[in-house]
Amino acid sequence: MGFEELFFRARKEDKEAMMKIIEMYRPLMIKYAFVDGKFDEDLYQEFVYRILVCIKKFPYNKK
Amino acid sequence: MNVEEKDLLNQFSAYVKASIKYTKSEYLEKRTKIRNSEVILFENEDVNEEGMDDILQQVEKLSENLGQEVLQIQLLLDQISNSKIYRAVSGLNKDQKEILLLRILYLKSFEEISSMLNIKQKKVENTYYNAIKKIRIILGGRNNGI
Repeated sequence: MGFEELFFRARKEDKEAMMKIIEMYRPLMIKYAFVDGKFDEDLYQEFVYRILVCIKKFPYNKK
Repeated sequence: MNVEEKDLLNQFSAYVKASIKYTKSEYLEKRTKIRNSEVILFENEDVNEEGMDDILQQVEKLSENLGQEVLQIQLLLDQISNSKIYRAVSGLNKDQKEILLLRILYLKSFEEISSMLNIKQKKVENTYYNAIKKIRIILGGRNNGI
């Protein structure tokens, strides 16, 4: 399954696809969730929520 | 992966990254705000336990010297309602406190203060402005301002 398909499945609220996209961006989130050298769990959760919002709101229309 | 798909992935990644950066700055700002208000509460406790007694004694001594009534101690305490300023003022040395109180609370001129305390006027001025500077530093510079 390519990213495009994954993305559109996630957009249609397919939980599995959403999880896969979150998995994809986990390293990025972990990198940014470090505050003063400490891992901030709350911030990480905010990021997860934000990615779900991003999936929904990303301005892209299939041609 | 074809070109279109790669484009989508890149664009979405950039979108997510920007969004995450923004979320982080927003989150940190919020947290700083919350922490600042928490600190003030803690400082209030400190002031009640130690700082208050300390400053009361000092003010009492000072007002005895000046022959002022005890009522005016309360006046000073009423004036300083901010706990951060309390802390800042209690961090000053004796001369600085004395001059600050005379200048601000009793509204004396530098000339009057210098004759009351037998210190040169220039020294009074310098001490006063140094005290203000010190308080400003303790309060965290321009952000909090006085």
